[in-house]
Amino acid sequence: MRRRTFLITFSIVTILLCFTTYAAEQNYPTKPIRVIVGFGPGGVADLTLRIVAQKLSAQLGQQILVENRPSAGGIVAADAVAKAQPDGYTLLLMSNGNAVSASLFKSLPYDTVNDFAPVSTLGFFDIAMFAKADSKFQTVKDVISYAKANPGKLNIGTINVGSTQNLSAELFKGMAGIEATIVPYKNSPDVLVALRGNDVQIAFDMLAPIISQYKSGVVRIIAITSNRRFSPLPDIPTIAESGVPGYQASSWNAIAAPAKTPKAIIDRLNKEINMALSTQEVKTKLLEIGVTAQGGTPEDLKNLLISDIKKWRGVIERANIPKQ
Amino acid sequence: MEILTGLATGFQAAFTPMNLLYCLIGVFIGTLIGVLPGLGPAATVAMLMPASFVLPPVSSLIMLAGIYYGAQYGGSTTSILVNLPGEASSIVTTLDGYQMALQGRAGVALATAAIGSFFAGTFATVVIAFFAPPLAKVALKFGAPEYFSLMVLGLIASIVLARGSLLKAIGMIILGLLLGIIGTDVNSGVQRYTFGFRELMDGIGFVPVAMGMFGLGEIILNLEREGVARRVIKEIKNLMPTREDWKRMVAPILRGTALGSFLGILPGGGALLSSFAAYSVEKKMSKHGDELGRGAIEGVAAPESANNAGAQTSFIPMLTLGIPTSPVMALMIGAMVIQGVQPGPSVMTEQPALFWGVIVSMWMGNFFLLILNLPMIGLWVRLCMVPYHLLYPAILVFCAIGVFTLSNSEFDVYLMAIFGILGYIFAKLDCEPAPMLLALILGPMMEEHLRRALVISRGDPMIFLTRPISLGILIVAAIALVVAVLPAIRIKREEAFKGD
Repeated sequence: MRRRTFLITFSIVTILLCFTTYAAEQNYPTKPIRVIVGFGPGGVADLTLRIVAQKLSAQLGQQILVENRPSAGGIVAADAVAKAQPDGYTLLLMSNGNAVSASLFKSLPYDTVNDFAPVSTLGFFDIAMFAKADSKFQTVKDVISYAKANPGKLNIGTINVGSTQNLSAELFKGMAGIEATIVPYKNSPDVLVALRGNDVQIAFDMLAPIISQYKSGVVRIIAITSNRRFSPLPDIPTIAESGVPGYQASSWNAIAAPAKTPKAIIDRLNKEINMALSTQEVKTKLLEIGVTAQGGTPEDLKNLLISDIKKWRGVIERANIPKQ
Repeated sequence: MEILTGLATGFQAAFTPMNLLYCLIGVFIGTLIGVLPGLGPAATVAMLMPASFVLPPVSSLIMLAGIYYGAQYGGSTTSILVNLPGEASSIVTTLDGYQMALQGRAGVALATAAIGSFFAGTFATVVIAFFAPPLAKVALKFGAPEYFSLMVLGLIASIVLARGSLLKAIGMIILGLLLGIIGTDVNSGVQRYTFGFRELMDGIGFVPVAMGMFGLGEIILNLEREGVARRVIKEIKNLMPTREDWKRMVAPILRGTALGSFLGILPGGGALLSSFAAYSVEKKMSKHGDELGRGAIEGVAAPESANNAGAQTSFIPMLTLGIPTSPVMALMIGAMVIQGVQPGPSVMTEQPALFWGVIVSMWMGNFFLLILNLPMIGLWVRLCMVPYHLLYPAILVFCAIGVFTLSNSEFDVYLMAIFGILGYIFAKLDCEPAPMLLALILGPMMEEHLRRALVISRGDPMIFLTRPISLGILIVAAIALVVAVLPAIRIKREEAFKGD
């Protein structure tokens, strides 16, 4: 008798527990959601998140808190999310920086592919190859033929070693078969000053901080690094179509959750993010900063992550960048 | 004439009730976060940015700019009252500001800081209005070799910061340089002395070190003396500067303002160097130079004017070239872009109301800061009368919160604690922390620029001598070194002769 009462109570409790977790997933979110960012405020990826988060907060009826935990390679931020409660209240702003870190570091405290549940991409941003407006370099071919005629004379400016911009330049050097010195700078403004002061002849950087310089006629964008042209600048060719076939590099960011986050929460977030990204308001704001809004399924994100890890590993090895 | 029409446009844009209000809100928030140690303008601007999207571009920029220079004002308050530099630029203010507070002249120090800042802010606004485009071109002339030479000059000037022994000052500079080596190497990406701590990969942050060495170290010292004769602040004499004070602060304010206005233009460290440079100049040029470090009003007036002027002119590269000189500026550019304003060389011609509106608002903001801060001085000074056993736990808590918010990392809090103990030990050994901190800030930048310059020259060190600006700065550095070292050697020799 006693045993039976126990069993019944036990079953009821179990059912109730299941129901409460179910309810928790159904009512999600009931409190503010934190998104941890692996770099300081103000960069393109951070701005992208802040724009989307504003819309998302309105849709979900809960505040999205952006928490910057800057560290090299975004490792501290990713580690915090990998080890966070998988309840959907702690998310990671993932970027292809995470894909690069997976190959750049000797060891990571987490598994970039398996410790995260991908939610959705937010946007893709192009990288531009650019020169001063009065530079003799008009096309990618000009750059390549100059570098071939004057081996070792060309200086290419990028931000720090191991960044996507830096690796894009390495990739270009390798695929175009040229000799050039890549000069690393701390941040985008420094790259721009170096270019305008003639310390470097060309530079690779995110399109976003360059567009305004381009529009005011100070720099010339020679080419775009991704495999398609950037819609607001349709006249600017890609590197691939300017004589380096197969060249492709672009940057993206996305939202990911800790690996064991319930599927219902992932699906809800995915739906809301895609909805936010499809609004004209978000699209326009993102385009202003050079980002093409693009959501997708969790599987899309996973595949992207895996293929980018592979691609950057190859570039890092070819460029002989030491593992950290 | 063009400038006059510009200024007229600016006054029209800035003097609307709404923009005046946002300017006031901005400087008020700025003062608050400046007073709270650690919590910096970058984090605040980032948090407020989404809110600013709903405002018209001019209003939002006016507010964000107000936060930035308001923080420079506020940062000096804690430096003076509790020896706690909230911003890198207010380290120097602790040297004489805190000494003045200990002598019961906290009110005078705060008033001097506010007056100096107001004058500097006003002057720098005029500089921006009249000379922004040509000055921006100067910034572009500074490449890696020029910056390296400038850093060398800064480091040599930092020797002057030391009050006591020259040898100890050089020792502290070297310690600072060594600490600066920790982190990821920019050129190769290799990690140095991180001992597996991921938190060290980006190097040792300046704020935990400064707050530990100055703030916490001072607390330990005070507690040690508690039993015997606590380092109490003597009775507060006067709140406002006396006639004599006014006389003594004029020249330092002028020199500080001029130096700050120029150095502020250089992206990357220019504004930061300005307060150090102003202090060093005062030590050599002022009649009362020998009193510096013991609570001389010049030691507050000059660096405070310099850092405020620098904070203001650092807007020049952003407004005229679209090049941000600090993370806060980068955020403001982000805000402009989202507002649909393309920052860059065309802002001045295409958005005159925005360009001039922001400039005029800066002057207004400085005025607000003055009338906001002067009445507050009485309140702040009373803070010094709070019994120390109540005050110090509060300072500790604020420090811990402030440091934590920098990058949301507990590691920084521990780091601050370690440097607190170190600060105490160094105080016991009579080693000055200021030269070490400057070396910690300058060291990594110096190395970065040195190596970059050598990459550009393909390894030829002559690049530092063949570029005229770099050569000029190096010559000044050599002169400064002689000036700094000669008196010390002379004294040593005299001592040696006396000993015979």
